Amino acid sequence: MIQEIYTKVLAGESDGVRSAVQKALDEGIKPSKIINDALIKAMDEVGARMKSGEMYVPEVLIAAEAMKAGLGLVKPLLEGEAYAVGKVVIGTVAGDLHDIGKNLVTMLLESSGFEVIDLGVDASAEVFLEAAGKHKPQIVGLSALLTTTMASMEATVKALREKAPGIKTMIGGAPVSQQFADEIGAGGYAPDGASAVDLAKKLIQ
Amino acid sequence: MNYGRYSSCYRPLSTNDIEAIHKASMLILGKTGFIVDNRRALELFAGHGAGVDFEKKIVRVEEEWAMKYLKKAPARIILYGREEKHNLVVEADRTFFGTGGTALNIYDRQTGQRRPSLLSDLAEIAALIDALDHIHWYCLPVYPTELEKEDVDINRYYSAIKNTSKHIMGGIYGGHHGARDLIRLAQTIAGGAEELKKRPLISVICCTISPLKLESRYVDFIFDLVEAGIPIATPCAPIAGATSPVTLAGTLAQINAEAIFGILLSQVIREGAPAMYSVVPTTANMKTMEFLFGAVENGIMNAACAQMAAYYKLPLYSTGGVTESKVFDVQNGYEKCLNNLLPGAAGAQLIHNAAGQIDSSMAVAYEQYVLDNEILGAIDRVLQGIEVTPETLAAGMIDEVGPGGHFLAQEHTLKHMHRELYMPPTAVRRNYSAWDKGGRKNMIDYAREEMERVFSGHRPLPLPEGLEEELKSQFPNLIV
Repeated sequence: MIQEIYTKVLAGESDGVRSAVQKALDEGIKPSKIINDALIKAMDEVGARMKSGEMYVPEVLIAAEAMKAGLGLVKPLLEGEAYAVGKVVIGTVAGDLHDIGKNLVTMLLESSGFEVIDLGVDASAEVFLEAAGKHKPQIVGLSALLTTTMASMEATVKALREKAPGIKTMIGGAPVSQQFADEIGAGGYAPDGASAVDLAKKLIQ
Repeated sequence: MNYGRYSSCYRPLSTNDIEAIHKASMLILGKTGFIVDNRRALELFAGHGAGVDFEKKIVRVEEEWAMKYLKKAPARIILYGREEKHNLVVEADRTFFGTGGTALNIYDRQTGQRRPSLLSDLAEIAALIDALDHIHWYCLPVYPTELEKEDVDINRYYSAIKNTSKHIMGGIYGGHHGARDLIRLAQTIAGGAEELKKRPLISVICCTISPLKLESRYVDFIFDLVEAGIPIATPCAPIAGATSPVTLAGTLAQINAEAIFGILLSQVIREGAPAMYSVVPTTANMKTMEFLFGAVENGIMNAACAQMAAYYKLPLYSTGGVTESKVFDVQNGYEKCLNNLLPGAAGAQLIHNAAGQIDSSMAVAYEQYVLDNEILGAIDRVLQGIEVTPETLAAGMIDEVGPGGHFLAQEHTLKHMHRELYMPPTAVRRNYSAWDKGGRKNMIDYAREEMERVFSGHRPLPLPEGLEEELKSQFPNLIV
């Protein structure tokens, strides 16, 4: 049954995943095993296929939907067991209303087992700080598309470094680069969605 | 006055297709509507009888209303330069090519290394394109990364105006006074507010967000610019597959609605305001979700937009050849050529982003301007077509020369060769041994030589005496 869930996630069949997960639960397979050995494992494979160019992004997102459909059934049954790989607070920095890149990273992180708190667009340093205090994530992700909002990215990273030093920051978006990340002291930079997941995994190790 | 090259020979849409796209766009504007995150604009739309949902900040307009207001927009705009020959008459079926931006990086002229762009680059590129004949206006290509945001707008435009007499167009970032400092600068240079309205020597690009969204700050800019009589472009840049449907028809339906909406906003602010039907249709790399500026579909869609703009009788701001390539290679050349040729051949009017950009518009390169100018020259030759007259048919001369003769020494050859045959300035066209003896140089080597020749020999038309001092006294943060 674990194999069937795995296969259905890869195929992006939400209904198929749901019924396979239900069967697995009926058979008495432990929820944590379903999550780790079927759902997350399948998404790891999806991530690898995306990176190699074998799977296109829409296929990845549909697989992620299927994974979440399965997760929805299993999550309520977890009794205090932590399933999430890690927790990420994410948002587009102040002055920027673009969110497609950030939304993609959110979906990919979630489908890789991260719990993601999305602050939306135009989020100020204060909003990021407040969310960091409230949700206690390991990572804060910042996105920017407009060149003019790189300054607010810098200010937000600085504020987080000063007031929430235990939290790692990662940045992404068209105008930013590894060099810019180094300059502003961000914990990491990812040039695309798939590497954002890799980076997040690396940062929480 | 430059009326541009008569174009429009490639038509990807049939008349039925145009009607179908129009209908779909009207459905989008009437049913889905547009988010306008600006109270003043919402009230203005409501005052003119458009459907406004103030709570959700959505404006919806019916076809009849949209067409009524669209008709108030001028079909022809003249973009003025500092010299009569650079005044561009923008209307259907005539094509002009311009630069574009806004990149943050530049390939250094001396070292070739990619580095952050500076204000001095805006001035130097202006001086370079001033000498390149197939680049018709200067769309500000880079962001001066060393400046404070407050100082960016006036310095970007001024460094351009000072270094080329071609028309200046550019994006806007706004300072404490929004667009007003820039407007005041342009008015001073033009010799007054009324003079600027009559002869706008700048035009400004105010972006909208796809799908179907107008940001508050940009709407404020649009209010001030429209009131000052400065022509505006309100481009939307949907990414097919990501921020618009993956089907080209679907993206065209959306982008058409977005382009129309920008014009409608300008016309409710001031009837008859010069505004362009503005489009930046793009696609996504479905493997990585990365944005693509060099895909061939972009060229097809820009061509289709040329047909849509002509259908509405509106001046068009469209988008040309940017490459995804990071170097000067075959990919660079073919992406640029296709994406400039397709809209050019379809009668696109202003084609911005036609020269200078590389790396998906994240960077520009000096030699790229020379290379692209050459490609644009070849495209201009395509649009020129074949002139068929008794003189060009030359039957009498063929008879004179007779079988077995040659045409090299004919008066007719001398008279027509420059117009008939395009002479690309940098392409390698010699035979192998001449090329070998000449140091095995390629087109890029020649482009660099051409670029250095321009920099050492060409001087743009200087500004009137005393103007710089006057501007400096009004704008203490102007860098001269």
